Amino acid sequence: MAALKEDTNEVQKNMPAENFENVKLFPVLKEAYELLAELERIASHAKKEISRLEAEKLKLNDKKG
Amino acid sequence: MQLVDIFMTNDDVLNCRFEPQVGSLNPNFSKLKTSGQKPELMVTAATEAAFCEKYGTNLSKKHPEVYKLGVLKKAKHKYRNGEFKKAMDTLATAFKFIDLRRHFEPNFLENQKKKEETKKRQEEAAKLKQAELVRQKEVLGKDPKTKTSLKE
Repeated sequence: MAALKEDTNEVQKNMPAENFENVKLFPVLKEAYELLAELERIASHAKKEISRLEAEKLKLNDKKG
Repeated sequence: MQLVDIFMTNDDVLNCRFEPQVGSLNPNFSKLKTSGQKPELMVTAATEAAFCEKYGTNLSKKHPEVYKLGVLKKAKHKYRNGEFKKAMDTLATAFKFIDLRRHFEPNFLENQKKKEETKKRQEEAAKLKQAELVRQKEVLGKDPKTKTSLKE
């Protein structure tokens, strides 16, 4: 998983800059950003949910113990 | 470029029989020919081979709008199927995220500064904590009385 993340980081570093002046490309870039924002929102929400569940699990373990 | 890189699903790879409507495959070919009209695609790509040649092998650099739209479609398909990680990875192959954020995200620079500041603060706090731990260890190592009292 970590290797995959490193790979994507490497790909992002070597990628050429986006051309926002290209009229045909602009709507595609905007749509891509919207999807990216949505995916990031889902990722952050999932992280929060995981931490909340872990905290609840710990609480239950404490009650049992 | 392999078919897997172009199509969104395995089903498409196996079953798609797409043929671009160029030259004589264009349903309006005969009409256009008799009326003397020359649409752009027919001028630039009279045959299927010419159509492929027009787009070339280096599609991502020659026609980024076509290539990126394809990647976006692929990512959207994965997103709709609930494969969020794969969708993100697919997007990462064609789009530079930092540029997209810089251009479209409101208050991008301010948010970036805030993130850096919080990162710095966290690092400093971690360093202080570590220093404190080292100091406590040293104190415990030197003074055996405190060690015993702590044990008790």
